[in-house]
Amino acid sequence: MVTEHGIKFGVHLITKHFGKIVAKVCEKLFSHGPLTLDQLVRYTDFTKDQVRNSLLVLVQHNCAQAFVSAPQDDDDDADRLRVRTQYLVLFDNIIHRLRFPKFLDIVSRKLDEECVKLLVGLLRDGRLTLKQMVDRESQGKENAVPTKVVRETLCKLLTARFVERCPAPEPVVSTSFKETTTKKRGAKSAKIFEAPETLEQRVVDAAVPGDVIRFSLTANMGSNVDRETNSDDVPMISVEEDVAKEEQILWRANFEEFIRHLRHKVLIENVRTQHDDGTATVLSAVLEATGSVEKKVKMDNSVPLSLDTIITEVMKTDTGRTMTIDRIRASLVQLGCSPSMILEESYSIDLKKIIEPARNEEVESIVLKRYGRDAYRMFRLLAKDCCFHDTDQIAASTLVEKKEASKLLYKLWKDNYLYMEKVGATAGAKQITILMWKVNKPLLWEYVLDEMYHAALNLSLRMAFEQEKDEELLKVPKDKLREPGPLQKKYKRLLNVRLLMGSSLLKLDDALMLFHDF
Amino acid sequence: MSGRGRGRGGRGGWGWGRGGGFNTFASQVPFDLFPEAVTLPDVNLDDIHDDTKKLLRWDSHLQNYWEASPYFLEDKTSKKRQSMHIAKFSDRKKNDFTRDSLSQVLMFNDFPQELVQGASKRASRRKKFRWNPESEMKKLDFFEQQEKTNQGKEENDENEKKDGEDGDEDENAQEEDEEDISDDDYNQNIDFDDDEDDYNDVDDGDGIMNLPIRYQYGECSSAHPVTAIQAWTVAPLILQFGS
Repeated sequence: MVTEHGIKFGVHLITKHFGKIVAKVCEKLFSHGPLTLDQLVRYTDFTKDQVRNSLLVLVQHNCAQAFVSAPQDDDDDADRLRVRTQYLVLFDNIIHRLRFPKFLDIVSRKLDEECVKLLVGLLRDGRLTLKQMVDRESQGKENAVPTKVVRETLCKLLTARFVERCPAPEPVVSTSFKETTTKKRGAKSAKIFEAPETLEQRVVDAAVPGDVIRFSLTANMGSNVDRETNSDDVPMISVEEDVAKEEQILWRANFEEFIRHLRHKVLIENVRTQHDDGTATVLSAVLEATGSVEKKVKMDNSVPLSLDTIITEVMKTDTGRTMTIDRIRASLVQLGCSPSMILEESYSIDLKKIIEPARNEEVESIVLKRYGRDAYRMFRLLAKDCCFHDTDQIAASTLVEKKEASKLLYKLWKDNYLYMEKVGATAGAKQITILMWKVNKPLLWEYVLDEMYHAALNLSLRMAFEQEKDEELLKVPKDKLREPGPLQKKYKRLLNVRLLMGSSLLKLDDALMLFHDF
Repeated sequence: MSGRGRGRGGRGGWGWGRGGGFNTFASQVPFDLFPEAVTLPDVNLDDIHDDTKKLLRWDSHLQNYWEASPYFLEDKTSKKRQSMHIAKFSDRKKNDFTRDSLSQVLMFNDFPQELVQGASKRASRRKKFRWNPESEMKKLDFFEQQEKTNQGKEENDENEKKDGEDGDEDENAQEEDEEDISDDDYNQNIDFDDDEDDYNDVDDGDGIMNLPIRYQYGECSSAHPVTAIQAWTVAPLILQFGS
């Protein structure tokens, strides 16, 4: 479920990047759910061309996915024959636009400068073919960049899974929710779903090509991934045709992999602060080894690994070379791999347990800033215990005066940080009500996330406001800005404002990811 | 959850207001876009890490690109209407920025069919796409300047090169545009000229034409529920015409 301010923030990002028309189309898709082209024209009052172009932009930048709903049993023949393409807006991909610089940073750290350049192109234009990439690289240069060079760079990105093939343009998806979980997805239905599958997930799943095709460069679908490096040597029936086909394939950045990367980084850093460097090394080795096997980003537990594999993985790293087996085993225990969880000597780390304290800390710091130290202590107590406490009990254990305590608790409850229930009790002849307090984490997290979207929206709006305010500065020749004077002062202020707000937004985004993506 | 907390306070207020017959008015508070009363922690700008600055530079580059890219859709029609002021000689330089069109960059083979209709024709005469249109809007780029002061010479060299290109490209772009204008306008007008009446949807056009006749003969039960509803909404209009 996307919260109110989340949607507003998403629409704001689209406005900033693609203008108001696209943003309005996007907003309608948010408020009404999946819509057809005609419905969108009706809701937005734009011309059909405008809506069509907006959708093209949204699809090109992976912010929307088209799908055709599969015919249902109760449809009559006319309905069956009519193909109705619906458009679904992808909230996550819109918010990921905020993180593009972070994605680039990952690639610049792990791969080389050429890869960064290629990825910049993909992020800028959403989807590109190999031919376009070559075009792009060659523009402004005297000699055209050979396709082979660009192809190699693309290969590197593909092997690291930072780039993938674009999903199917309009997959057929069943929109009825009753039968599918039991019938259609046979393999998966065996597992118990924690959350009900949303339409968004289903559409995205249906559109994504299989893993082998998704990351393979060659046009020939049947070929395996390994061949992508030496496909030139393999004799084929029609090489030219194949190359032509290959140049037509559209590529895009694989957001999922980037987010996984960022998640791993946060996990490791948290372990480092909670425990020590050695434990962090073990965790990073485990995550590194299993990253490509993970099915989704939000894994509750790491993929089980045997102790031997873990040891070899740890030995591979620079910092882990000197670690003894006992040290590694101790680290695994520190990471919460209790003996009962060890099945057949394979270890699986509970990653949720690492994320949760990080979230708690974030909320606690908000409470501390807003409500002061006493409230912070009470909140911590409740957050730690996760069960109901009455007012007196809380006041006693946090050494806060009773009257003050109930005031603070009320304040926290009013602002949605606490959950309260009234319990009626009879003491002698008198009926009294006791207030019981609790921190309801899932609800609280959702609320905090919404507040953070709100903050991000405000911050972003303010940045736009500041820039607009000093727009005349842009028209001043640059030499004048270098001379000391009121203009330079103003210009410096604007620079500082942008720097400060921009860096705050980046930090806020880290928190957003912690609550939404990890 | 958010409903609960606020709902309580709010409901009390409303109930009282109604009972009292609205004899109290809300005092007018001037709208403050960004209240300054918030106390913010002191920050030292030097504390901001270089990595963060790098991220911000990337961010502003991307933003500048999108603002100048064909993906940034503008409401061209309304702009034309609003241009009331007389073009001055000094404005000459302001509007020289031209956007590439979407059909120059999109590869239409991987899009939903209905979005591509009609576009394929235009795509066939694809012009050279400018991959770096933001270089024209360089003025917007603050971070680049900051960088320049730091790095100095090599950056300058690059910029000179870029400027050289820009000049060439601009000429090209303008030429291209002159060609483009005719077909663009034509396309816009197809949909634009109809008066945007909610009931006169383009698709349902012929349905409505038939309706008055049916209605006059007393046959208002249309086979299709939607057209039946439209019969009632259109009816008053027809009656006016008739009288």
